[in-house]
Amino acid sequence: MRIVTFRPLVLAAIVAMAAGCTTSRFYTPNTMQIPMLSQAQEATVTGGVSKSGENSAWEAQAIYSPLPHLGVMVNHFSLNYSGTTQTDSSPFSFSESDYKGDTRLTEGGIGGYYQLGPNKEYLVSLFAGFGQGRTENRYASPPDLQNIETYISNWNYQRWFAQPSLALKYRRLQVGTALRFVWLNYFDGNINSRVGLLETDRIQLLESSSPMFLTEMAWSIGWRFRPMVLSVNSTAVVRGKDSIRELDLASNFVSLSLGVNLHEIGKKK
Amino acid sequence: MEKLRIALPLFGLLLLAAACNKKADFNYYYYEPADYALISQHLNLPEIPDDYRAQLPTHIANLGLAARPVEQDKAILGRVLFYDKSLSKDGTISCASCHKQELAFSDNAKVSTGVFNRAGDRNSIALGSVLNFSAYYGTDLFGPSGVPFFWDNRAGTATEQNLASMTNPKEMDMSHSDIVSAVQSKAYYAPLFKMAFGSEQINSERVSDAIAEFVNAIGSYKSKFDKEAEKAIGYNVYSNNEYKSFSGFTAQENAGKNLFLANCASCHSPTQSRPAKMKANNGLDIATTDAGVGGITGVSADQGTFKVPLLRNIEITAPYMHDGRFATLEEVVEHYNSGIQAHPNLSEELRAPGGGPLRLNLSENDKKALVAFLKTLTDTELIADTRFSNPFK
Repeated sequence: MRIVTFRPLVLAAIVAMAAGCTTSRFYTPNTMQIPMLSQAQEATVTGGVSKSGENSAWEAQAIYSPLPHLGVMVNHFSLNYSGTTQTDSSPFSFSESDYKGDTRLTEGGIGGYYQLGPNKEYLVSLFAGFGQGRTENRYASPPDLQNIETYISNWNYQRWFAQPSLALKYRRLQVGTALRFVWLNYFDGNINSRVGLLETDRIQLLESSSPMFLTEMAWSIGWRFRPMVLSVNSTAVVRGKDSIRELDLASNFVSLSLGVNLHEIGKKK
Repeated sequence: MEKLRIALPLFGLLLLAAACNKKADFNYYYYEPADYALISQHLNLPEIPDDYRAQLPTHIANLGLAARPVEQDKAILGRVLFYDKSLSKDGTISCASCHKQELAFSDNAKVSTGVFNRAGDRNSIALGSVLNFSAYYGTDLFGPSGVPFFWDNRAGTATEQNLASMTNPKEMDMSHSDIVSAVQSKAYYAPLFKMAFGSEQINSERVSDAIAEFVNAIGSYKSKFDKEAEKAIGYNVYSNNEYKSFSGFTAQENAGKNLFLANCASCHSPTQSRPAKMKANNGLDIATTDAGVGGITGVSADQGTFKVPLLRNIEITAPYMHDGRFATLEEVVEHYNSGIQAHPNLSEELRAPGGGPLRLNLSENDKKALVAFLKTLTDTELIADTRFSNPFK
């Protein structure tokens, strides 16, 4: 394995993450797992990370094909973030609040895949799944109160998704793109409305807008050095921009991941 | 087929899960549960506080006024203090005793009665007639502090005003330490102070500050007059179209509006948004019996002059004038029509061309029209607004 061969990919990943990653204290799309299955009994586990400013995330993903053309996947997403937001306003003054938060999402999906092309290098798939997540935001009280209290708000959400994707495998390179149709429902929450009228207004809008539909698009470029794949992944909300603006949702998420094809480990033995 | 046998039931399960989704239902809370339990034993404060932010109508915003920011927690605390009778020497008087919400925060007595049935000096000013409490004038006529308080303009801010009333022997007769002791004796104030000021420390400045925040949140701008001014596109005193009839007014009310604009607005404001004069003598007496502003400034030209209030909610704030001498609006109109006295400091606006007292010579219909217009300034929403009501159980 020659490190030098995937150094540009690592650099590209760092640049992409630094430049393009946005996170939100309300919703951030996780990395879309684009299936690269080719046969039954094949399994891949992937670990991913993302770092942008004060925000950091890690992900674990797995996909397995129990039968030809059938796959199951599991994804876990964990994001920590911090920032400052305007929590109250008037024509003459506004107050800002620092916040820290984290969100966790675990989801599973099932679907089918099919290989195409003269060398079966193309792979189309359709997966659907369900997941549940929890987000907690911890706001510092406005500094003008000289208060050391923290106002905590948290909520649980469910996400259903349908995900058609297309992938292409070369000898050393694999690329993939996918759409994810997301049905997002914030079904319960415990909100300390002392955080400020403006922020409470946003959370109420989040509640009244649930469930909401988002369309997300992903691309992934991976460097294969069997049995592993090092990938740069990007997932962006492409439809539902109004929701992004009004609800202050994140628009895109970039990660760097390392996957291991367990089936290929077996082959090597 | 084997694959389908597995896949289809799984997809079915997913669809079932989707169908069983829960409707969003967030629980909002504002107080810590233990604090709210304590507060609720004594007070009817909503679990999620009311929004004290004001939305000024466009016809007022167009004049350069804007809603002032309100510190929610201070206003909530101020509301409780405003209605708390323990802030008086004999435990019988609160701010609300002389500023009753149903009377647009005024009193129906000629002069209000304080502790131990002591008579006050002047008629209670209706807080619901002073739009500046909820609006910022910026650096307008009277500076960023807005309009001075009391009939004699002796207080520059609501904070100064309410502290002066609490310590006035004829009103609440409390010392600063009395105020602190009274508040400290009630456990439910501790969490309210902590929320408002960041700590449970109680002092008279904080008490006064909180009451001022509540009073500053009171605003009257939803009267029939306001609604019609809002509908009348371009209603603006600076474009000289204020004489345009309001479609929702009766002919009598429109006639009264025109009479008001021609004869009264130069002192009382054509839009009822900002006072046109800070003080005036309106010819109630030929000689000064109450020095008014002059008693504070010592200036001879100020002798017998008093604050010129806006006329919002005038219908429900009788009796009228600083000494409550007029019981009805008809009496007030008749005073300006035929009863103005030649006081040496009589306001220029109330003088005839020769310098003597002005006589308007209004007809009976004119007088009725003027009264009809004044009644359009009543804001029934303000007097029913639960944000400003008595929170005590």
